[in-house]
Amino acid sequence: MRGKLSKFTILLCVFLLIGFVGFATGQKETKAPTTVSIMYGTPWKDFVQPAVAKFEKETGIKVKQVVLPPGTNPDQKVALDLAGGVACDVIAVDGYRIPEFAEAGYLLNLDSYLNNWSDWNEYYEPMKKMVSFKGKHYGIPLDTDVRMLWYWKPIFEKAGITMPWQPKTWDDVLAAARKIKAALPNVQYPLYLPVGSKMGEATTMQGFYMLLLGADTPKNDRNRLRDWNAGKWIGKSPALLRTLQVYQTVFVKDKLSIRDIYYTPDVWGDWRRAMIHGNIGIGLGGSWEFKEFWSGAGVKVPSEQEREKLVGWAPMPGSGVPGAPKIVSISGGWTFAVNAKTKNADAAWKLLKTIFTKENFGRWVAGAAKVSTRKDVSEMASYKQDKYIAAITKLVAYTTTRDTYPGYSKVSSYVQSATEDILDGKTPQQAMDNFYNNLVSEFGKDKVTVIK
Amino acid sequence: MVVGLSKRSLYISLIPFALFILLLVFCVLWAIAISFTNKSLIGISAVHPRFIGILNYAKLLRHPDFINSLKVTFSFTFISAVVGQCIIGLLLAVLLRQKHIRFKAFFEVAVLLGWLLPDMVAAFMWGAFASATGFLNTILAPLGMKPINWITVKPLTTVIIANVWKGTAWSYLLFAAALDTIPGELFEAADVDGATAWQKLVLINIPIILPTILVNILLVTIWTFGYFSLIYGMTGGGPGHATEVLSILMYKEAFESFHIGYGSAISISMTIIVGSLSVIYFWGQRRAADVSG
Repeated sequence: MRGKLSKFTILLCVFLLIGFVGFATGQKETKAPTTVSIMYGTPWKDFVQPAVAKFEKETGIKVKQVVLPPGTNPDQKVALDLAGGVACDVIAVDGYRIPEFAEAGYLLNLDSYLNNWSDWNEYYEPMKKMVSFKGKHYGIPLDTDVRMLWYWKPIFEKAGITMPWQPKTWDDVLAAARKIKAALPNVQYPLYLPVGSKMGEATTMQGFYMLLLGADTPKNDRNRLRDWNAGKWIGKSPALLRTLQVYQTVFVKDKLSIRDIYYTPDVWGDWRRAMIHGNIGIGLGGSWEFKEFWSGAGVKVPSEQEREKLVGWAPMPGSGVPGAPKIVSISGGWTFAVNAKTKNADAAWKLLKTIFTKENFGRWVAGAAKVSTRKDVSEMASYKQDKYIAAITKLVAYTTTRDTYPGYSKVSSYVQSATEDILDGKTPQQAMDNFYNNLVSEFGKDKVTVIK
Repeated sequence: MVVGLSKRSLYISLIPFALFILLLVFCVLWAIAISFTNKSLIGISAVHPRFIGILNYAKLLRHPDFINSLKVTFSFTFISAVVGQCIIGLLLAVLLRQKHIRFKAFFEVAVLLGWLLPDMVAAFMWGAFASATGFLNTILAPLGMKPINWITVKPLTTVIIANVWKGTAWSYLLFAAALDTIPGELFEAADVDGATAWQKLVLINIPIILPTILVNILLVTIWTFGYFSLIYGMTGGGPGHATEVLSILMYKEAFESFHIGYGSAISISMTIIVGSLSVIYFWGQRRAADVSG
């Protein structure tokens, strides 16, 4: 028995040794890469694929592409892949994640590559800032955007609202929504305002921030989630309360939106379908929607002239409170970054360089109705002549970015939870108190401030 | 000793099981250990998590969302699994066992269909079925009911009904198999004594298959307490927190907010709760066995 067991133990040890040696030698692989992998979402397919073909032809390196289908949350997918150590070599990253990903050591510092790349000088400074953390750069900015109020023209026409629509305060927006509700009771979403956690970051950015920024003066960060001078998160403020009051008006008091669309299995597809099927009067959304209302809904995109007849947009006004901005917008943007664990850093960088040539980026950015992140592309005739892009570029003067300090993701999830509290029937004050308690519990009382 | 197997072969054949159990134990221990830290999937806590003692558990007890999720989970589990699936499954099994029932195969297939459909497909199907323009409203319209979106107007009720529809087949199969083991003579004797259908159910069927009923209640409670995909697909836990069962709260904390430490604390709490329920069931089962023995 003992003899047999010993043999068995030896056999097991041999297996383990073979496995370990295999693992160890695998780690020391130094051969030239034969493949490099990249992960991005469907909207960037037209941008990436021609460059990938060119890269493969020039280098002989095969590119394994992971294209996330519509309906996937690319932001969450990238975070989980990086945390699990299975992310591709090159990854599309939402700009606001850069500090937390960099802090976790997930992203490769690209400074040594960027400093030797002449195109880097063409990028706007705020865009460079978006991809940086503690002075180091971790990605190439892909696109940026602005946010506004979209409205469906046939509904406005039937409701008798003058176009072009130019609301001056929140009251004007709510009044228009009430008018739609009274005139067209079949329209289920006179005002579409992203709410709840299933919409994820869209609730925070397209909905909550767009109200918060106009809810008070920008002085001393009174209209933000973070007091940057004090280095604290804002747990209670008049602006937070006013913002939650709008949620209460829209979803509870005046019922200017039913709740269905914010909780369906396909929240993004359904919002776009509701818009183009005339079930939304006014909707808070981003500049990309001029095309994606149709492409995201899975239907053929009409010509620009046809789209203009159907959908209009207006800058989001402030609340009308003294000192609050007259117009607000907030910008995000995606970047392409390199996984810090890549074994093919040089090849990954070469792929990035091929994707981000002026020609390839310029060709794509105007056609996709995106705001350019680099100066030379903004000067290209195809970009300058695009009427829609010229119009939305005016909003850039009013835009700002999120309070992307490490910990922002958690703050954002508490924002979403606060909007859900309103749906549950809590008062704006109770929802704000919960928000404050969540922040204190997360960061400690000394890291959370109250603005009177 | 397994017949015809040498000791060495036996040990070798046990390796996969041992590895599997080691993996399971490792995962559980990892989850327990992580639940005492501030480990996150992103940010500085991803690489340098700190030991924070029982803070995650203390936070749970103060967290209104956790208390809400606890209530929602108990309601969902008790009504949809313990009451809905078990009682309907038992009644179906008894009914379809009757000799004069026709189209038995049709009814069985209809019950099994819900069980066989993948959860996400079922979620999309229920999304369409219970929507304002869905078939449910078409059925209810002749009764004078105005069309509503059941998923947002009565969210918890709708997901409970969906889960009863989806899971009853399991209880039905288990009870049908148990009922088949009851000797026919007992019913013939009962017929001679003039017993009613109700008396046969209460005095013959239920006492004999009581251990099976208790095992089934135990199993469906465990499954339903941690059930995720159907509810998440249908409502995402909303509107508000109306259908946010513990598994959805745990998912949101661990994989949307990336608080893996806090998410682990929720999952460990779920394990403790469902483990406690299991102990009660086992105790009940032993009592039932003692009584029948």
